[in-house]
Amino acid sequence: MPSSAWMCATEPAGRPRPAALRACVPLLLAAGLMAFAPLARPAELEAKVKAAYVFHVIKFVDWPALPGDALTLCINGSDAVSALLGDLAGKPVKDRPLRVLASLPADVAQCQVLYVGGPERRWAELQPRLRGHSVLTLSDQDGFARNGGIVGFYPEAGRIRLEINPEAARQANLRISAKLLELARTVP
Amino acid sequence: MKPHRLALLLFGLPALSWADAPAIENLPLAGFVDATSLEQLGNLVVTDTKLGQAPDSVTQQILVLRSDEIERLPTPNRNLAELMRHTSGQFVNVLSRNDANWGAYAGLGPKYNSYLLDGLPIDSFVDAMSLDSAAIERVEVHKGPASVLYSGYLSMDFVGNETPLAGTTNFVLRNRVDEAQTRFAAGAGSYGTFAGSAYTQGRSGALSYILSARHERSDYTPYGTRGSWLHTVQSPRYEKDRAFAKLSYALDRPDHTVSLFYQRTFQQGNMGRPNRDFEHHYDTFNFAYNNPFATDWHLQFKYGERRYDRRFANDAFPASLALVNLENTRQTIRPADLTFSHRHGQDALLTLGVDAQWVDYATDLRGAGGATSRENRAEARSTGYFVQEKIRLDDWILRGGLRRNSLHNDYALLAGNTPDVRAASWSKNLWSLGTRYNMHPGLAFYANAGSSFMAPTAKQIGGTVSSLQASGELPNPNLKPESGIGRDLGLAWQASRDLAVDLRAYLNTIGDAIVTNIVSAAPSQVRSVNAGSARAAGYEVDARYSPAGGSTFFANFTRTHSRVSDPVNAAQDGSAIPFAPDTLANAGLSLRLPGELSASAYYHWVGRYYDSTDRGSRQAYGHFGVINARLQKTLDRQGSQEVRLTLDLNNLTDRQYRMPFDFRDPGFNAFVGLDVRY
Repeated sequence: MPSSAWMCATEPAGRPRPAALRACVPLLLAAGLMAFAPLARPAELEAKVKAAYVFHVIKFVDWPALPGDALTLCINGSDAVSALLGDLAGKPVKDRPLRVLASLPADVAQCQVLYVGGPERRWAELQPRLRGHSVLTLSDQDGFARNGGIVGFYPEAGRIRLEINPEAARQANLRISAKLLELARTVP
Repeated sequence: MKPHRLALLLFGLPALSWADAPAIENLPLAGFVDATSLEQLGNLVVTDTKLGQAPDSVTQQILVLRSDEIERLPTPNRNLAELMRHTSGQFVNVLSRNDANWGAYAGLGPKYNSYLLDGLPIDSFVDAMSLDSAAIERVEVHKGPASVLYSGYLSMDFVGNETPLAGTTNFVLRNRVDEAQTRFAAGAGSYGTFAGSAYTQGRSGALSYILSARHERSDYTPYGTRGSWLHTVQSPRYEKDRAFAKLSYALDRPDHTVSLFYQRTFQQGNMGRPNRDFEHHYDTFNFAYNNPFATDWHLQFKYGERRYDRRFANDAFPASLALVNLENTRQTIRPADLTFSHRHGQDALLTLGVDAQWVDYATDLRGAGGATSRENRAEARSTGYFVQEKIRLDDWILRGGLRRNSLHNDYALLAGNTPDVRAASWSKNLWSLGTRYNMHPGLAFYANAGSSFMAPTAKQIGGTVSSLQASGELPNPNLKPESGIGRDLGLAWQASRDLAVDLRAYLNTIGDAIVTNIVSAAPSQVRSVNAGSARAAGYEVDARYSPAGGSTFFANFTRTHSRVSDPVNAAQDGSAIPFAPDTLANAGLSLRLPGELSASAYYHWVGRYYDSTDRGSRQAYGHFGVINARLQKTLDRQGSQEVRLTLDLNNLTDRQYRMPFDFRDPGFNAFVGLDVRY
């Protein structure tokens, strides 16, 4: 064994060496340098995480009544998440297949879930049409839950988080499970 | 391995971490959804409040090992404690495949670290070597003085109680099942080791179920110092059988559930001599009821049973290999917990409840002629009342809690004698405070402090001898519990999207430390007294780099200075706390390579530590490094079907390092296994 000060080296039993304190410094420095390596996560991953959230969130919401044949997810607007959600068509959720409609039907009562893509002005236009219907609304628009939506996304520390507006859910006669509320931050 | 080669291995290969690799994030959306859960996406942790919380709202540092990482981590001794071997601050020292972990946490010995199974206490010595990792969904390592929400473990066995002063590790069981899956695995390795397992999970309506069985046998190899009590004259073979079932039923909503977990472990073998055989039975049972009621209230009730039945045969080595006697130890511990959580205000959470434990403990000795004598009979019970409030004020998290704990022990028989002291009771008030400041989304500072206590063991209170002429431990009915205060502060820095750095400093102090002093040389008599204090101060540095593609690199370093003060006994005054190394360091990588191949390598370095406080008789250990590696190759993948080959290479540099109590690591060993899942 060379008399290296490298502390993480295999050492024979012997007296403690002050040099051991410097043991992992080279490792930490190397790790620090790698922080600047050009290895950004693709934006597609962010969209995929949000789309997966949409699917999982549905499992933790109770509707006053659901149609027997399918649970319908409607998409309004277009963004990266909207483009992905169609891939979930047919997946079973809440004991029925998920039907995905790429556009909002004239009768919004057909939708149990509505994902709102950009631009933001659409949400303001949509809100009056949803009143009185039990529709779970989700979007990654900034401040969506604060603006009357039920579930919004926001970035934090490199992760995607949920924010939930319980009052909006109550008005839609939807019950949000405690598990979901534990996960999300609530907004007034 | 030469240091420069290790550095190349750790940091020279990230260029290979591109992939056609089967990382979760590369799956199509439908597969991605199947491979993730709401909890995974949300990165929830449950230990600090008993309800799911985002890590940025937790005042203490929590490290989470998820099921995919658990599958990658080498566990050469099949012990759950080994999952934490490469985390900072924690010294994992599993003595053999058939023996407990005798490690340390944040500069304190093994009794100041508590383990939980889904929030109910388990034995950190015994249960970690019996529970099956297939049952575990994730491990939450809760660093620093634990919250007041958990009691200590009231074990009356050889080491006595365990308490969550330095940290709490929560093994969270798999719960709700979304997709059916069946797995079969078989493998073989060094020392004639053969293992096989079957696992299935599925769902029928609101019922989720998991069933698993595992068998392992081995001729094993000598794992003790030659000539010591662990000396072998034949292969120290063993067999282990483990089976568990987990059932979860959603009553009317997904979050209104009852769940049952039961595991049975049967372990038998011999320690390498004809009359040194052993036979152990362990039963672990957890029941949980969860009900969020009203809008902001949540009720949890949990009950568990842990049954330990161990039998050892003793011979007269080195004088003779003939059978002398059989030791039989039986202990049943029943923990229960009722917790209410109330969400109020803006992101505030009130937690309050009561917990209890009941313990029956008995040991018998059966002589070679068949006569049985009762050795120990003891019972214990505890009750704890706790309340904790956690509030968020903009970027600040504030947490404070109180606990009132009462213990009562009854000693009917100690070392075959009816003790003069038949009962002992203690009540203690405990507190816990913590704060966290999220300066910005990537940087947070935190500080915590809390108190804990450790009741004396039965033999310290009641003694093992009642006659003044006999050798053994004299009773001390006035013995007080040890009182501990833990403190830590640190920062969590998400330096970039891929790099996280954590720094933590800790100071743990023990007052009224119980030390055992010699009263008489002939007869040999000792008595335990509250004569001392102990102090452990140190720091940890963690770096973790997780670039896209599923590869991970990490390094951490822990430095601790500990000191025991004992004005009564100069031989141990000023010595280090036993079993707590002055230095620990880890580095490792997990690479996803082309061709559906993944490779993991972990380096673990242990500094100097001792097995006792007595400078005259203590033994020094440590100053060694160990490399473990795991290679996994997916041989076939069609839809949800997968065939995977795993190769474990443990202790690559063949370091046969010494451990306390005459144990010795057997050195290099390998295991290859095939896993089929569909």
